[in-house]
Amino acid sequence: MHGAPAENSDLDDRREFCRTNRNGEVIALILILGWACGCNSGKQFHPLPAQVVAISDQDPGGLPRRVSFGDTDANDYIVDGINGGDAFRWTREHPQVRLLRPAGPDCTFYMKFRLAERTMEDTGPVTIQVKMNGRQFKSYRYEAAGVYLIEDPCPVSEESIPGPTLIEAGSTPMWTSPDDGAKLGYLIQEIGYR
Amino acid sequence: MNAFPFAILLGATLTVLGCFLWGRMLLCFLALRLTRLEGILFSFLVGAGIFSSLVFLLCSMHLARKGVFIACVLVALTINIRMRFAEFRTAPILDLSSLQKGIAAAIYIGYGTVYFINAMAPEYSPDGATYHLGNVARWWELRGFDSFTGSIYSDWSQGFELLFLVAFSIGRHSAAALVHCAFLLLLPWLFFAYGQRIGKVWPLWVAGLFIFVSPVVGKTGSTAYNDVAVACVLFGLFYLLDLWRETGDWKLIVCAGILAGFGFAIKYTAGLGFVYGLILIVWAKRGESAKVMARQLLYFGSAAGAISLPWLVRNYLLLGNPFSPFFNSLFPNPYVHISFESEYTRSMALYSEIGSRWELPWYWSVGGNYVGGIFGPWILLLPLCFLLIRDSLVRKFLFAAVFMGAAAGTNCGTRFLLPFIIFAAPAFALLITKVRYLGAILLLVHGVASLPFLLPLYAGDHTWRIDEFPWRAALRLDPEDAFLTQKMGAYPVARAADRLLPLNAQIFATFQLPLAYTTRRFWHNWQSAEAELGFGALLYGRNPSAQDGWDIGFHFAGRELLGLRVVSAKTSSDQWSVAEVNYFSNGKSVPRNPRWQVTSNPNHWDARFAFDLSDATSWSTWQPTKEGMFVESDFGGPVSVDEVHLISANGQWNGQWRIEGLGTSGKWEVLTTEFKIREREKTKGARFASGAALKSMGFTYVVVNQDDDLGKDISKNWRYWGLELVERVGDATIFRLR
Repeated sequence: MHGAPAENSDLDDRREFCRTNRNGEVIALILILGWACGCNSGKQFHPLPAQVVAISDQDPGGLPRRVSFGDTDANDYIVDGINGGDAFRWTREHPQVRLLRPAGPDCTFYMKFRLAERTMEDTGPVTIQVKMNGRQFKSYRYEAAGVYLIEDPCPVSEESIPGPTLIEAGSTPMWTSPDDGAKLGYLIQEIGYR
Repeated sequence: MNAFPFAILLGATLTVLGCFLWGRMLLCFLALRLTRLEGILFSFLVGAGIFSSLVFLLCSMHLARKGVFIACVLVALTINIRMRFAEFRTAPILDLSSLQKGIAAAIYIGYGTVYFINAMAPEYSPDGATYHLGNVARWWELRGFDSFTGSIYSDWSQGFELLFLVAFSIGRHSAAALVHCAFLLLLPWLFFAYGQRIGKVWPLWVAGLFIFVSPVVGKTGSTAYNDVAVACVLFGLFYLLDLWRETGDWKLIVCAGILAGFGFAIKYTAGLGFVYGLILIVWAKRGESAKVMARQLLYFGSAAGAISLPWLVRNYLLLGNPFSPFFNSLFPNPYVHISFESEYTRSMALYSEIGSRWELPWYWSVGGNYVGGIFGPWILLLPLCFLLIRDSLVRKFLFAAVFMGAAAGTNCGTRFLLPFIIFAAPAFALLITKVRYLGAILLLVHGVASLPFLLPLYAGDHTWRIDEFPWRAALRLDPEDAFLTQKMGAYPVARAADRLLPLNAQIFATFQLPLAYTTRRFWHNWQSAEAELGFGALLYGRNPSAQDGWDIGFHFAGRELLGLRVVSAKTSSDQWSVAEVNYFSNGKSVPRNPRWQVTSNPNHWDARFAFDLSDATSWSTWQPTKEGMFVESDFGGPVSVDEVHLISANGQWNGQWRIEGLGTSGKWEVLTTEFKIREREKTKGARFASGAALKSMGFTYVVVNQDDDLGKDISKNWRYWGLELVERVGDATIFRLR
């Protein structure tokens, strides 16, 4: 009579032990997995970071000193009057770019371009007028087709100061394409300051 | 960085000897019944795993020193001599005919010499010179592991690089490459030994030489890569498991476990070898009691775990992800973005230049472009193996080929097919050697077709292959610096970084440098989460369109709040990013207070980027947006707010958000779900903002070259970026962040 309950009790104890033990294993496993997976039910807050002072008036906002039209970013600096394309691009009326004129006495205006034989045959001599921020800088006259390079000291005047500068380099007379009637000037390759 | 030929050979020899002696010690201790050739081969292979683990331990304790390495080898040598272990027995050698011997000797010696000289020449392979030895160079500088988190290429297991480290400590880069070359030279002999075991010496020898001669195998094996080592280890594993099935000797299972673990320690994808072993053990013991099976599995798993688990533990402790750079969804961490992992695995599985998977056999066999080399046209004949499918030996090889070769699905580069080829080639060789002389003829044809000067006749122009016999460079008769400068344009930049920058410099580079030739830490554009954040900041300064952001405004009834969060109200495949979160009350900006705290879900470690006053940095989900993701501020006390503005990149058209506030009652409530989007004008001073952001991330130097628009702009306008010129090196420029 006394043995049976004792046996049951022992079994119960064993079951209880196993159950407890298994629970322990399961909990341990969950804890390990949770730890390993980086699970965390609580939010992890961080203090405010140092505030980054991010403005500098010295940076005019993305302007380079010169632009080569073969560069993929060349379109960013064209304001008007220059066709899309490769390294040499056709100018139209009022070709304009916005670039950064550097400070200092060594500043030199620089422009590389080509006058096409096909257009020169029709137009004869061509004059290129360069303006900076709307003010006349210089005129250049060309009699023959070819590749030309202009290098001239930057203008010195109260209006012509270092900083973002709108450069216009239009040509006259313009050539009219017999195919589509487009008015074209010359093929520009590079323009800006040194 | 110049090394002397003697030091190169000494470094490589010492490493190979160390592997052999440590392995021989174990194999003799276990008294394995192996042939003499098997004894040599498996002493080396198993010993490589043991020696690698030993070096792991030394690196963990920062005891990776030349003297310690030499001592490790001498200790092993002393034990080997003094213990007088029994020699391995010699099995009856199944001989080859004179013709077979002649062909084999000509091919093995001819190609072996080319491989050896190429390995001994200064190392300039793409992966070897960048990260395999890049990691080694950093460890050597610190005499142990470092905590560099700037590149995924420092994350995964690097058991083979530890052997490189031993060789590197004495003979630098070429010594390391020679260690890999040792595995390449050993590879055919593994096949030969297996051929002896199964009584098919010539077919297996042909298979071994077919692989040995394959252009991509020769090129890979003669550089500081690890693919040929993986191939040896996987074939060795297959071999030992086969011996175990034949003999039932449990000690072979221990050695197989070491190889399985070492495979994983070399390359994650070789972990398939471990799974293959488990399956084979279960299959072989299926008729026996569970206890017997469990015991075998325990031997195998314990040995494998002893070699491989340290890498997982290291990664968990350093990166919070044992399997970094993979499984980042399961183990979120600040070092690898989930979006990167998705893109990386997708782009590796099938390179963008390749139209479809059906084109791959052509690229792997003949094409060669983009996939980094070819095996040769012979692999197009591999489907013929199915003609012998009734042969159980062929079935065994093909099963192993398909199973181990499954890793090729993760990366379509040719060398990733090697685990498939090492098992498919024997099946192929068994087929072709059934016809008298056919095996010899095809082997000769393959040998001739793979000659470096004939490859250009049919392989793609950009096939990665051996294309020279640089014996003068190998013997250092031509100066190493000049050779490397000619091979790698960025080599002088790496050397300049060592010369000019402090050891603790944190350098952001917009182009890949040969990190094996510098001990400085470089973060390259996309190779880690940290680098992606840095690159994002730089792009903001350069790219005008990145500066055209959105101002997303939320208005609601003003009230006192203890906290506030912006919550994504819609699940979307797009990422959600926030450059700044600004709070307003009665039209005035609420000043940020030092007692504020911020968090986010996911990526709480990046929440700061939404509160740092810089538009150049952003918090982002770096994964598809899920409803409920948020950016949150804890004000640390009541703050009156009636307006929230998110400054973010434009184009987040799929986004929907709501504002939730934590009232003084302690309950979160939805304040508004309405918002208005306003385009922002370009920011003035964006370049400076980018430079400042980069500095706030901890970077101290920037290196650019003029191959791209970003580099051109930084080179031209470096003052606006907040940089100081350090040095121009060719087309590259090194700057310091002010």
